[in-house]
Amino acid sequence: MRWLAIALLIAACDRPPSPPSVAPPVDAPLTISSSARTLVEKFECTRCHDVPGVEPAVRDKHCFRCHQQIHAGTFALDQGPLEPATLDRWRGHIQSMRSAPSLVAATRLRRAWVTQFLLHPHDVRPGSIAQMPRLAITDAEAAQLAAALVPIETSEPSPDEAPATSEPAPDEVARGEALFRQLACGRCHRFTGASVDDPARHAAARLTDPQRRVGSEVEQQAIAWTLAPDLRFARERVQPGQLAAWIERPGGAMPVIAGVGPREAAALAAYIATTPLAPATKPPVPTRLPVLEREVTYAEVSTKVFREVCWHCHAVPDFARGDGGPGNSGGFGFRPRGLDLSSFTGLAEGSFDDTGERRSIFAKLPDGTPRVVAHLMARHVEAVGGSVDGIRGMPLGLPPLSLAQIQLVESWVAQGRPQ
Amino acid sequence: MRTLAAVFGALLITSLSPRAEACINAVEVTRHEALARIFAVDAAMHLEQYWFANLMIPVGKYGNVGFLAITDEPPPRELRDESDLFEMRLVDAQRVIEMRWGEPDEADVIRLERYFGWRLESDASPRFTAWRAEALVLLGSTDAARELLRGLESRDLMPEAHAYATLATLTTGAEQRRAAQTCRVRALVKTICPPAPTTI
Repeated sequence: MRWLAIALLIAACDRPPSPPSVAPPVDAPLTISSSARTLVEKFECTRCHDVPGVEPAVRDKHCFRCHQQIHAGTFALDQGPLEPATLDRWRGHIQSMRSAPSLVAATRLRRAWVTQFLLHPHDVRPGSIAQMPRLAITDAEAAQLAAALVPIETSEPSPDEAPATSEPAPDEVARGEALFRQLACGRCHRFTGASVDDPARHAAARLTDPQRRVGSEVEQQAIAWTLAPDLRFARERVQPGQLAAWIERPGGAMPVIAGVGPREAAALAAYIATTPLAPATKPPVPTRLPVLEREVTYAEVSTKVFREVCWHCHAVPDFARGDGGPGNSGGFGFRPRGLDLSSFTGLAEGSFDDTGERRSIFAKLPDGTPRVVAHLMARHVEAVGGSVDGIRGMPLGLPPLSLAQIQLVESWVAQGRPQ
Repeated sequence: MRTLAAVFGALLITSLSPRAEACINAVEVTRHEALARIFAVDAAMHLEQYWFANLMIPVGKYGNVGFLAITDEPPPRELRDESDLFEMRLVDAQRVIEMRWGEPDEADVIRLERYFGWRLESDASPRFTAWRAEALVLLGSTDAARELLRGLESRDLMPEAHAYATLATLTTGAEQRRAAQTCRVRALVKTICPPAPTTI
């Protein structure tokens, strides 16, 4: 599914309290070397992200473009444009995948953080349903990509080290906190662990109007909210010296904040980079629900699970102009798996294993769990920062399916997969 | 008659329309005439409505493969474009319809078995394996058919209930019982499944 999702690095606002006169590399143009370009193409970063100098994915391979075009009213098929009533109806269906961060501003991030994020992606942007997918990327490839995205670093501290080269004055930090509250930064940004974090206020600021038009002010606000990162990560994520510069002169989805000059930006950055944070809490991995006793048919499990989510990436080439999605024809660096979740027969035909042999997606793993259920549950493990050896969490780059959805799949399998 | 078929097809498609239709895959299925037709043909076949599925297959409408007319030539290994792909999907459906509903004579069955063999050469998918096994049964090559289906069944790759129905006719005892029972679970139309042998 599809399609899918993603959200590499980027966006936000930060920088520790270094003099704001330092020219930020944010303004430096990002150019991708030919070797890094090979990796960008291998992992198909342009399915989701704008990458300077690299052609975006064609619409039918792009994870966001259809949704964007539907909202812009420009979506068309070969037969011509669609009728406005249809587009209006579809706008109401679209819940996510409308905006992804551009990689243009990645230059301000820490290279080590980008490397780790590529290897072990986690949820940086609480407002975005789509997340950076867990790629099959090696340490060396991640480091090479990070070096390309972050060509210049003002210093090279490890993410565990204190980012600031000098401690800000206490009054500056206090002024930063006051500004944070006054400017209502928390409407868009979560700041988990900080005293200013207000989940309810953040949630209330979400703009849910599905009919908002592309280019409108409301649309820009909605994108800013969706892509605003949790500021908890700013101190490990953004290079020292970049935070204040970004706040003062933001790019990407972050709007320019009226009244924020160098002094205000420095105070905000000082606060964001140094305020004490409560330890992050990891929720436990949920437990599978027991299989249902009532009958579960293919029609139900297909409607509520396979065609609700999975087939966006696991379809059949016939249905998508020769590309059955990355989970069928290959993509994001993954080999073609030939998995078609769009039909009863397709499900039954399984997928290709690493040797190219077909295998059942319902076969029981050593612990008795059907493979497809194991992949769905593995996403819950990944959502709390873990991983399961040999099992990639699905749906890739999207939140885990609900336990009720997984229960439905497991119940259907346990009942012999009735049609 | 074709109008009636189109109406019934539209009803089928409507009933099968995915909820998340604003996605290119779903858009293609619901809006693209050829794909919608393929979906409707598949749906009719699952319902064992072969006469109707056959009506919905247009002759020469898509592609340049030219295989919708019965031929005795191997289908092209390389399809030229997506319209050829559409046509081959419908050709596959037409061959299955002919095998299950068309009362083929021996020469027809030989041709059908050869066709599914050719398709297997370019796409070793379980569906072609199972369809070839069905054709082999009609030719009396039950050992070969049983071997193909056991290979799929042992790996839990039986593509549809018909494969279990066929396997049940080729086996005895517990294996036959299991195949017949699984057929009844997975078939939309249970009458395609042979009765499971009673336990003594």
